[in-house]
Amino acid sequence: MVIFFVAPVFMLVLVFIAYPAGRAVYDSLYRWQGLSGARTFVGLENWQRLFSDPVILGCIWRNLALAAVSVFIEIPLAFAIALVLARARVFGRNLYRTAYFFPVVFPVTVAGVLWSWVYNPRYGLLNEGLRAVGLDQLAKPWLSDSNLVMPAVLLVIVWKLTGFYIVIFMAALESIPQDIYDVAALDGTNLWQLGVHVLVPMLREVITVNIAIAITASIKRFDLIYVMTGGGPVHDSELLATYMFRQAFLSYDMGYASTIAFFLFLLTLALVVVQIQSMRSEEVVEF
Amino acid sequence: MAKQLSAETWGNSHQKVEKGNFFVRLKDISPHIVLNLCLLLLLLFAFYPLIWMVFTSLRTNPELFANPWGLPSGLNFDNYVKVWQTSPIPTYFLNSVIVSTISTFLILLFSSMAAYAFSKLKFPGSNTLFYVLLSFYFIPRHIALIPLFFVLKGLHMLDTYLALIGPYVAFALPFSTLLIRGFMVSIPSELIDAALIDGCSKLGIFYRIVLPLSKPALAVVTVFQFLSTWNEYLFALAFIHSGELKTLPIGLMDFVGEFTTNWVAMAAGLTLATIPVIIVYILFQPQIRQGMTAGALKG
Repeated sequence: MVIFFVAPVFMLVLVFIAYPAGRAVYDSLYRWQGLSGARTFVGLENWQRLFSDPVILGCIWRNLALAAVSVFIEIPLAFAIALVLARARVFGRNLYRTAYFFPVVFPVTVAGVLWSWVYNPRYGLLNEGLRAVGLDQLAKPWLSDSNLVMPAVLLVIVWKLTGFYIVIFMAALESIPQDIYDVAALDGTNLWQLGVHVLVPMLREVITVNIAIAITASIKRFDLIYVMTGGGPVHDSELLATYMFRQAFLSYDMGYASTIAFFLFLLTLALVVVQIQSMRSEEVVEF
Repeated sequence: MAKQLSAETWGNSHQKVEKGNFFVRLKDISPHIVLNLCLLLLLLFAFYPLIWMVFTSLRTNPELFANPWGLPSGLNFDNYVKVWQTSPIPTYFLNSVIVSTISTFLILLFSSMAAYAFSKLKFPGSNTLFYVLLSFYFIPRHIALIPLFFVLKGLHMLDTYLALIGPYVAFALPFSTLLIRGFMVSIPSELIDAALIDGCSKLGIFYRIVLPLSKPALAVVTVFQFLSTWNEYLFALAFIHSGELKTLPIGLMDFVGEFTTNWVAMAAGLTLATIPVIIVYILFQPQIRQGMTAGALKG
């Protein structure tokens, strides 16, 4: 009887997740071009190639930049906004929450196309706006300039994702007992002190989880960048996932692409373990 | 700015507004004005792309290129008519509806069945098995992508609806099962025992008692997974190649390539692709929020 209830789930998970994921580890040991099964065992050759590939190094840096922006801009910004919305005297709290959260569910491809129009050198909203206020020299080809493409893309990512953390923090703030707020109010605590000295320590766990989510999501990031720039110009906005996808489905270099995929997985795992460990040790020091 | 907000202004209890002359009052409330202005600016930043997309879809190209920041001169739905009649957007739309609906239904069915087994039919090793299932939640789609391509090829599922439905359902199951199980655990066992005594079968208990009582959790999973499958891009890009089978996220990219400079028509197409999301968002925002926060707050 039990089998009837759990069998569909496990069959699907085995066929579509477990087997493919295990297979990728095995595939990374082969040189394997094209869509046929013809392949040669090359041991760790793909791994040697990965560690000497300058594009990979650039990808790792950009993925880490994404993670840094999430951890040091999106999450603190989201915490501040959530705190203000939850505690300060704000008109139309729900309207704000609705608006801030909307970019999170906004279809990625639609968002990518819209933002590439915003950045369009000739007709884009950004350049037209700059020209309208007389800042013509600041009008740039944002997405095709190798130095500007990452900041431009990062802004879109902040736009798309901050709302996610706002909603999580608002839910967490609601779960804090009213007494805490009442006591803090009696003590004459201002909003800044309340946030930094009372709520951050209380919400340590939620913050840790948010950071873990931010890091893994940053390492896996694919769609928004692929839609807006395809990883270009050249490799200037290339991420691990876009590089893997291009190696697999444009160059048909399946063995190497599998190696990149496996590496990406190991990187997320390692970063999350390090982050959780460091948060734990901080706790130990405190007590 | 937050530093200037004194306790009196945020504490809920016993708020007292001091009466004084106008300038004293102004000094007191100015942090609030600044704060509300900041929030308003952020609101514009968050919302403007959507507003601009809708405005643009109601304009003409000469109007747009003369002034991209301008407002539409009236309600002109020509672009929508043109896009619906001459572009493959309706096909993409239908494909997205089919794939998302079937996937969501299967996710709901299979994950609620497993959740029932894990919460109400205690069997040897049920906890271990549950954690095994949960561990697949942490496998990124990327690592499965390439082998999955060949699995689907071997099953002759590549470039069919099933190439998307299969992986979408599988990757959604661990999280959905977790969410529904968490809810079912709180259903009192007395209800189930009473039904057992009345001669109800385990399947009957699942269908007649546990499922109806789990509606709130099922709603969260439905809405959340519908949106996720509607917006999915990576698998769709890799596994679907025929134009007539493409879902909106990948179809839109072809469409954008075709209409290159016809921005107003493209804006209409983009708006059409976004309308279902907006409707679901307006109707089910609490469920979407719960789905998103469940992972972060319980994990």
